[in-house]
Amino acid sequence: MLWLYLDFHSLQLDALDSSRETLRTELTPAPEVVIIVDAKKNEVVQLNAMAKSQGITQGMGLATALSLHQHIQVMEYKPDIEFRTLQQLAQLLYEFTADIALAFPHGMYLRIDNMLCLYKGLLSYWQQIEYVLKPIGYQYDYATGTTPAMAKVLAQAKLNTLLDDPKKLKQALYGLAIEQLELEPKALNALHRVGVKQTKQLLALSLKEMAKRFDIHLLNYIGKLMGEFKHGLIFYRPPAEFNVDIELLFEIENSQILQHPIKRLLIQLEQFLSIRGLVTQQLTLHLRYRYLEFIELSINRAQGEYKMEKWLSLVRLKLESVKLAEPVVAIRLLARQLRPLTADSGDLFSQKSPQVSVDELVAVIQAKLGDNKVKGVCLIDQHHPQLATQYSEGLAIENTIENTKGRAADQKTFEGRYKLRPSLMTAVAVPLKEHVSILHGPERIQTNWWHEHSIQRDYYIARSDKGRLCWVYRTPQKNWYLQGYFA
Amino acid sequence: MLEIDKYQNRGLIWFGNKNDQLVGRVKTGFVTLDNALSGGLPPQGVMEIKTPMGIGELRLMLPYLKQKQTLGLLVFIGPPAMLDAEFLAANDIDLSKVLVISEYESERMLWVAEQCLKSGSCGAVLLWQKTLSIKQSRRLLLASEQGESSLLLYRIMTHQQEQTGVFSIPSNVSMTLAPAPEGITVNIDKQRGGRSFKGLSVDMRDIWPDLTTSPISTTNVVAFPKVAVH
Repeated sequence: MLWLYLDFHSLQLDALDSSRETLRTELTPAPEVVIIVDAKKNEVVQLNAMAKSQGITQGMGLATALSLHQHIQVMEYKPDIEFRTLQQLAQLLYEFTADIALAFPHGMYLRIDNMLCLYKGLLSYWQQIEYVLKPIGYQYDYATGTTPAMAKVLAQAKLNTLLDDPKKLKQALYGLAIEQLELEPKALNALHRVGVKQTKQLLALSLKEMAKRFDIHLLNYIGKLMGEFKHGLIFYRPPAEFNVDIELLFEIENSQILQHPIKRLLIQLEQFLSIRGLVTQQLTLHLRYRYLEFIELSINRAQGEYKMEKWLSLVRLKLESVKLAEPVVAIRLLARQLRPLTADSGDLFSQKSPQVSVDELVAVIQAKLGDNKVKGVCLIDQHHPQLATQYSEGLAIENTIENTKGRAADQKTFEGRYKLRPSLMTAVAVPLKEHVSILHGPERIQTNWWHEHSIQRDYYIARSDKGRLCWVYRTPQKNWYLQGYFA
Repeated sequence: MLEIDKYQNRGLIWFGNKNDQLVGRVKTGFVTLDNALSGGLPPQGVMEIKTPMGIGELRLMLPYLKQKQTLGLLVFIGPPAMLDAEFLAANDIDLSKVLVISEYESERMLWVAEQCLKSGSCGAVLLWQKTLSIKQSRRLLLASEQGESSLLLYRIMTHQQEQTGVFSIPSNVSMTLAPAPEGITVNIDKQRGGRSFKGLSVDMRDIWPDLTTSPISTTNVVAFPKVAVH
């Protein structure tokens, strides 16, 4: 077996850099010296090239680092950023390698022996990996090994050479000091006391002997390193849904400017969906303020879509109506309801082809006005005239109005099943104030007393003095109300 | 001459002998109206309907809407009250192809109307709006031609406006409706490729006997206003 280990030693720093790259404007000059400090240990864990040239080194205390240079941008080490970034990287590499296991906080194992058949050799495989990793600008050390642990040790020792000969790999391993192995301080101490300083010396010991003198952890590790024991790895599985964050390096107060980072996310979404042959009908955007509060925007299209341009135009419309209470510091894009891409075959014989499909039109209007203002109409089986009409969000789907269909079918057998109803109904009946003369009626509507909206009303069709055709009713208390117009 | 060119270019003048307007007319379903409109309403464009509220202004357009719905959605933008599903279903309107936009801000209503008209997936758009500027109506007209859709612009008149009349905006057909016992009295104020008519009586007694009153009169021209005959 052959394994490749990638060690992204400055993962958080590079993640910030790449998001800065995407958002670079004239207003935000790149800060020169950046260090990332682990707050618990109070030491520098990651630093950029400028910081190195100032004499700052890894493992240096914060105070020492600050005394070396005046203007240092100091950031706190956040494992969760590395965690997320690592998963994104795994997602990218998953296209080229089937077996990937993540090694938190900032490394990953790739099993390559089974992939070499496909790529015809180690070199062309590595070119493919570099082709993915180079453009995004993450720094990494790499090495191969016959076991995952060997690849990891060699990569962390910055071997940065690809070897597939087990003998050469062993030689490279022998050259390491035992401090470079992942050993516990206690075990290191014990080894030092018996005079073992080089890995070569350590590996010369047989496992049996080792088991007598040292504890089980060391034995396990050496066993894994040399491939005697099985190394349990949990392989990466690509997520079923799209969920990506962008941390903004500066605060955005204008909702219009937000579309630029969002566009970046949508490009990623397009890649994600097009590779999988999926489309989505709903996007959720979380615009996060400082202190973890966020506003949620959801954007819908009845017709699934994966293309960035189509979604971006809807996002723009949505952003028009968004008022930011605070500046936004991070954006998250979620796409949960994914379904397979199907070809939308239009009517082959219709003379005109619509520029915009019905679903798309509804989506555009919903994005501009809000979902609650765009309604379809359904008819349900209810005597109560105000309850017979129901509005649905978006266009009424045919199967939600089964009752209507049933009614339409009935109507064929029993003519005149539909009652004469006014075209425009008042949402709430208002007391009748005009003088009217009655044309037709009464039609008594009495609903069951156990219903919530129990009514008993006598409805009349009446014409007002101005010629309006009104639908009015009288309650048992002899009060008159206006219910609608026969417009 | 220059003056005329200017108006012509802005589409404010049309020629009586140019009858390419008359192709593909859609029947309104009412004989008197169809005769006056040389066969029916145009299949696309802006139709201005000046009317008091609740006299049958929607029912008058039902046959037209039914035909237009075969081509796409019917969009109701800013209706003055809740649209009733049973009324639509009873008149053979397919409810799954009806969209109601409950937006009452003038600018947004116009935006929606334009989007719908030019989308090409709407048969007809019904818009309730007090008035439109010439620029706005031109824009809607172009959108309706682009999407082969039609706009029914309902301008609800107040009682005072009913007496004085309202100035028409540029449109393909402009009509004023008034209540009548047997249905509706229609004045065609303007139409492209045709002349104006006054006092056309639209008889709805056969279709809606419960909503009309007067006995069948011998003449189909009814003077307006007319008092109900008992």
